[in-house]
Amino acid sequence: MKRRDESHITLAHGNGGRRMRALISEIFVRYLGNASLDPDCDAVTLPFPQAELLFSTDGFTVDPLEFPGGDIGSLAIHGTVNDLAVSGATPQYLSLNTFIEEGLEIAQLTRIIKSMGSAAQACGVKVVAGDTKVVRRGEGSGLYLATSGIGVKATMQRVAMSQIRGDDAIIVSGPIGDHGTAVLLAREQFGLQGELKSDAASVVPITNTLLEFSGLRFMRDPTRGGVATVLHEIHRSTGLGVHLQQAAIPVRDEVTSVCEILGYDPLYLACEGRVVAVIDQTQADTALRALQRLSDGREAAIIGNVSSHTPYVMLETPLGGQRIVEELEDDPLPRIC
Amino acid sequence: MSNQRARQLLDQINTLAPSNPFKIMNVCGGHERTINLAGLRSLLPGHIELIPGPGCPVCICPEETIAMAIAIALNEPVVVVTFGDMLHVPINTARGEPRSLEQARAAGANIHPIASPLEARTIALRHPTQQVVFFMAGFETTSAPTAALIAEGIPDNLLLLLAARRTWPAVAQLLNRDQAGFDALIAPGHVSAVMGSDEWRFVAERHQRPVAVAGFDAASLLAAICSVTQQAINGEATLVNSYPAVVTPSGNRHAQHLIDQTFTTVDSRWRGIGTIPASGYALKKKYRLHDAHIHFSKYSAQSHHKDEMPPGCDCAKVILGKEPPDHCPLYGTACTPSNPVGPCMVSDEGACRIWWSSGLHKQRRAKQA
Amino acid sequence: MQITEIDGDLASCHSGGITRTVNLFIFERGVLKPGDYVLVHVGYAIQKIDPEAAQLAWETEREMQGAIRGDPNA
Repeated sequence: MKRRDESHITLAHGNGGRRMRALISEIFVRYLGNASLDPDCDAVTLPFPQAELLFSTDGFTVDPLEFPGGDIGSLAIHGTVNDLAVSGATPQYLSLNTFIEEGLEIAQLTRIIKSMGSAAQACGVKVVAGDTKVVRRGEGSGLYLATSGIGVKATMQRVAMSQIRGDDAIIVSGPIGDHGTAVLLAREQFGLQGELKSDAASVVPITNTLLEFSGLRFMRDPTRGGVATVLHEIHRSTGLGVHLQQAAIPVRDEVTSVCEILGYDPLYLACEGRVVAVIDQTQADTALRALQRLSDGREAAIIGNVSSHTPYVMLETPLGGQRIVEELEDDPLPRIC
Repeated sequence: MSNQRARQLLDQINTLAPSNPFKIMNVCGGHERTINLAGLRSLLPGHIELIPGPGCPVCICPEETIAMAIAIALNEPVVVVTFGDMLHVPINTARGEPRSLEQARAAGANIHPIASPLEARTIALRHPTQQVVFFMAGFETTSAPTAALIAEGIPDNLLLLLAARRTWPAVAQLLNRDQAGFDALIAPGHVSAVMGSDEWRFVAERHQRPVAVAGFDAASLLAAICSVTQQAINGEATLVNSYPAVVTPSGNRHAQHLIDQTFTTVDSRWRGIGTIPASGYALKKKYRLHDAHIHFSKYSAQSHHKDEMPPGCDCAKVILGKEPPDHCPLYGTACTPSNPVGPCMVSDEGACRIWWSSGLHKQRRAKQA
Repeated sequence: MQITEIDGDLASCHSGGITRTVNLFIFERGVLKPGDYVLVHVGYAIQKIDPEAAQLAWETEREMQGAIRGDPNA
């Protein structure tokens, strides 16, 4: 006889007592469990070969918690896995911090952690440490997650911005702006609806393919601020300009339509499963064909090149005109005029 | 297919030799966005200059109305809703006071960006016990939907703080006072879709300047540019419709009827220009219970905002098209997109912001003639 | 956008995979029919669009946004 409502999170689920232990074992351990994940100990010892270790961390506050093509759970895995992968590491171990708001439906939490478990498995990573807190109703928007991850350097190849040269090619691994648009549509913001899936996914297959090329200089996953922000990071750090060809940039129809209606620019919209790579011009075409053989790389494209004689991030329009791609100032808001 | 048409028009324009320089003004933020997205300025011959005129409702919105909106939001238990563009526009305030609705929101005011007047009504219906103030700055294209919202019926707790303007009176004032720094005009496409292209006949017939209504793709804009340039060379001045898909001579009669039913035409202030006769809309008497200018009149005494631009800022001249943005003493130094001083650098459609994003980052003092 | 269906003063419109509810109050009832193209601004249909020109404008917008995937002679 269920005395109390067991279908929603209560503050008791965060007080360290029985209900919290039950929550952790029935949901977290059940879906994330592995030999190294022992909820009864405070730290985990991890076996490491003699290798360079890479460490990264990320927070996740996406709203809504579930959207076409993913949810905050799979995102929490892919976010940190991708940051490690684009840095040339093989992601292996993750820690997870969970902040649950009182009143969250346990069925939804279960779906999210289950999705997180299968995402981790698909990426070949283990969640080996974690902590769960419950906050009072109104103090969090359902669920916040944070993951930190360790990876082992996969190659002696230096993959870093400092390696970028004057006329290197710039490749994007697929259509841009899918995630930002999919979340906006999932929220039915501004009265817009549409069935666009987020591109949220692990980029490990893409980075592994690119790491086979000696001419690979740099990789980054364009999340908040989109591709434009990554290009500005390159421009600011190397002092080199960027020359883009707008007609070569893959953008899905739904993303173009939403940008037309709201006055947004796809270059600034978030992706969650794409890679922007900078590679030696002579190996660009071969690398592109290699990417296009991957399921997540079919629409990869060379979108432009780094340039030592233009002082800006410059875009050539389909008409042959030129415009500067500004660094993102404020969050995009719909423009009326 | 239309890209080829745009390229053909570009080739044709490049064969034309109007006076040097040949200044074409547009009065619409949407046109500026199309020009920028297509990089048109980098494609046109040097002697043809596209000048952004007073067409961005955010830039010309009077300072005292923004100050009033900030004061209401900070001092009254209301929700202020407004279009995204209005959040960042700065006004002159004493040090430490919020300089924009964005800063007022950061200081705790309940301010919410919307993308349609319909959202203002939805928010008001969802919070029946709370007053919602819709701060609307816009031209005829946005005034018609606002009039429709009111005519269709709005709840008692929804008030409107109007800064609604009509486009042609501003151009007429420039021409009447011989302040017009342009040789030809590109008339706004969406305004003309609502009000009809006939509104712009006076530019050709009374002031002998070629005028063409343009839409929002590169081909339509280039067709308009080509037409006005060709007219100038032939010494002609007529009204041409380069947006036939949407624009008719008389426009949307029903929309005009809704506007006349809801608003009266009044003399209105334009930031940087001053008062222009019959250039704005105000709510009719029958809607005075919804008029925030009346309901919150105690905040309209912010008269110390004499509608100046921030000190040292030439936005007033830039808005009139009398000076290009990079002639302003603050341009590129004190005033940049990350640290905007005047409204023309703040708004994405502001002339200075557009100049900046076309690569002109240096200040180019006027050549001392 | 193109109207797919009308219910009183509200129309469901679509464009490039996106659907949107658009208010038709700026038009008298019966003037607009499903299949018509309308110009939408801040959630309202403000004018009817002539289909051929709409298709032209649509393709221009497509090309200008660079949505063509490697097919330069579209």
